[in-house]
Amino acid sequence: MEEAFTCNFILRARNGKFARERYILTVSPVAADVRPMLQSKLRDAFAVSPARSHHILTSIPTVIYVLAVTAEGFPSEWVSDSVKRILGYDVEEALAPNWWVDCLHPDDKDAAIKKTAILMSAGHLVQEYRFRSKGGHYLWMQDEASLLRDADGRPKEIIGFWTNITELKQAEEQAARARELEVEIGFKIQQTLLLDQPPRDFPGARVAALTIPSQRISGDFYDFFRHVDQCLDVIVGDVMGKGIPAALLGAAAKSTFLQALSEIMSLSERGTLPKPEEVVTLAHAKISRQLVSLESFVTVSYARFDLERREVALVDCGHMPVIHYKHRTGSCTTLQGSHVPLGVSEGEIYEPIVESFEPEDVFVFYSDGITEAQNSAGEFFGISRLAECVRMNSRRDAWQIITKIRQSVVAFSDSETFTDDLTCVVVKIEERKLPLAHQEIEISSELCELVRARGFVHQFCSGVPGAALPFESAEELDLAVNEALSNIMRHAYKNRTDQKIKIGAQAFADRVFVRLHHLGEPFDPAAVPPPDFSGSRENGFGVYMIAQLVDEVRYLRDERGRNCICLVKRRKTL
Amino acid sequence: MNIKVGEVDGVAVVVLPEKDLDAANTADFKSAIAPVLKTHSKVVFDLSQLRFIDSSGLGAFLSCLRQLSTRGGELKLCGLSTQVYQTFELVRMHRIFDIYATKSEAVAAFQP
Repeated sequence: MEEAFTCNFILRARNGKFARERYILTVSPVAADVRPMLQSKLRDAFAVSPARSHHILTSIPTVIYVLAVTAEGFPSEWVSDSVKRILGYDVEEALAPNWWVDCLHPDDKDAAIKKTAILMSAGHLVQEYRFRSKGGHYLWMQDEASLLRDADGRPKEIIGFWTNITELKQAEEQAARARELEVEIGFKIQQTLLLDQPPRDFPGARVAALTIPSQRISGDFYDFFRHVDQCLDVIVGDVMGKGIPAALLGAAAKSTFLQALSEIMSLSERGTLPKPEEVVTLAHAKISRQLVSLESFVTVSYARFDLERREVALVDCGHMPVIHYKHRTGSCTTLQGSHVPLGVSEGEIYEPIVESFEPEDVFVFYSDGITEAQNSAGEFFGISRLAECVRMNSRRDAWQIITKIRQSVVAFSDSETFTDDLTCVVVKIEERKLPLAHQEIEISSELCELVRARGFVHQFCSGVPGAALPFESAEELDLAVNEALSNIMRHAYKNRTDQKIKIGAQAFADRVFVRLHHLGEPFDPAAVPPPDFSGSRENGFGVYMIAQLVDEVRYLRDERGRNCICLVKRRKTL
Repeated sequence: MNIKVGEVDGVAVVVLPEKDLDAANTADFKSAIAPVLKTHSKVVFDLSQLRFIDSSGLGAFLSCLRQLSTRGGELKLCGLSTQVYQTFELVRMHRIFDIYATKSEAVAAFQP
């Protein structure tokens, strides 16, 4: 009776790629000495001479071995000459008792020995382990063994193949490292190039944004353009595909919009704002050819919120429908245009959809990562679940709504990790409060300007409509502004005296805002160590003083990319 | 900065001529006060003219205090306006400095 068994070879092609080849050999289980048998089989299989088959046995990248099955264990009976070339051992050494066990890598030994039980039960076993070569270094070996039985079905012997898969393992490890690196680079691209902080103090709208990165970065991006305090542009996009190419394309697409906007603005009459469809048209003209040649496309929602007219103009280029929760009706509708994504058709003429809104309305922009999050049953999260989540939480503020959306998607899919990035931007409309008074000045970044800045704040505070700010409050605001300005001059502008700082003061019924805009280095108040009150340090009090002197301090970036420190003082008299 | 230095009972009494001591003029103040700190060990700063001080100004006073105390000298302050005193309080410097209402009280505090 002859038994067939398969023999796998891992071959490397000329191009360096590894491939697995399979040969089927048949052997007689009762052969006393398998060597002539193997040789003859090989001869048959490859149609070669005995000398040639010997040569093949010594030169194949595989060690063939035969073990006897006895009550005491599996003593080696035969091993092919290739053991010398592959592992460095002579055949005699390889036949010594315990040779195999002794050469196993300490970390792999127990598992490898345990698995031999599988061989006895299943009759076949493929495993990988590290194995010490004669030279002392470890090689990754694939061990494929088959149990042969005698005519009565009793285990007779084991025939196996060892293949040196070290290079394959190294290639796998390199690939794994490359994947990790890609995730890391992708994450950095996403954080630095694709996503911007939503504006935090836009009058009349609260904006929050969220991204949960997936294992492989996708090209989701968003951006916000403020046009004075009346209009806010929200741009949410998604590039086809994944990985670094998608991320880079996302970054390029995002910057194209800013470029298009600023180009039109620089050419237009002072004060006229380019329409969203104009910005999209120019951005598309700039990027469509590249997209076509890269065989990619970008879906985009470009929405402009006009807080004074209370309407939103949306140019939708194949992006997910925007959810609009209407406070008045308590229900959600979706806004969806009919344009194809950027990069699909070159001569697209864009038109906006215009919809009015009211305070307490909520708009939700999102990527398909949210609606296509799946549960264990394979169902999608879908727009209706998202809309329901928005409706249920519409009374909350923008940040809380986004947190609820996140929780709801995580609960639905029962997972914290997703195959696609989850990107979501929530805009909640608020009652717009216009300032009772507004003044601004510009100073240069010289310390001698501090006194003028203090004078400006003082004069503004004493003249605010309604009840004037109490003298102490004005003085506290003065000192806070002074400290913030001297920090800007000395640290953000590094003592350069030829730079500008704009100071804007606004008074509302309940609070006074002073905003300091500068183009120096951004400032991270969290990085400042706490002050030393022991008197042993002469500096390091500024940030602490500011925090003590005003009711709220915000460090942010304004609509023109300038850094802004916003100081808020409550009007306690009202 | 034209600081006025007088001497009362062996105590140097320095009158700060400025209304404001901020980041713009602390360096000025430090260089003006340096000779006084080298030649005297008992010093009073009369701040009755001062209406505004910021963290740099406080830092300058701390520097004066340290210079004097390393040589065994002492510094006392007097004549602080409410606003200036509040700034001291804000960063707890009112606990570090000896502060007196008037010049004569400050000078008298040096007498054994």
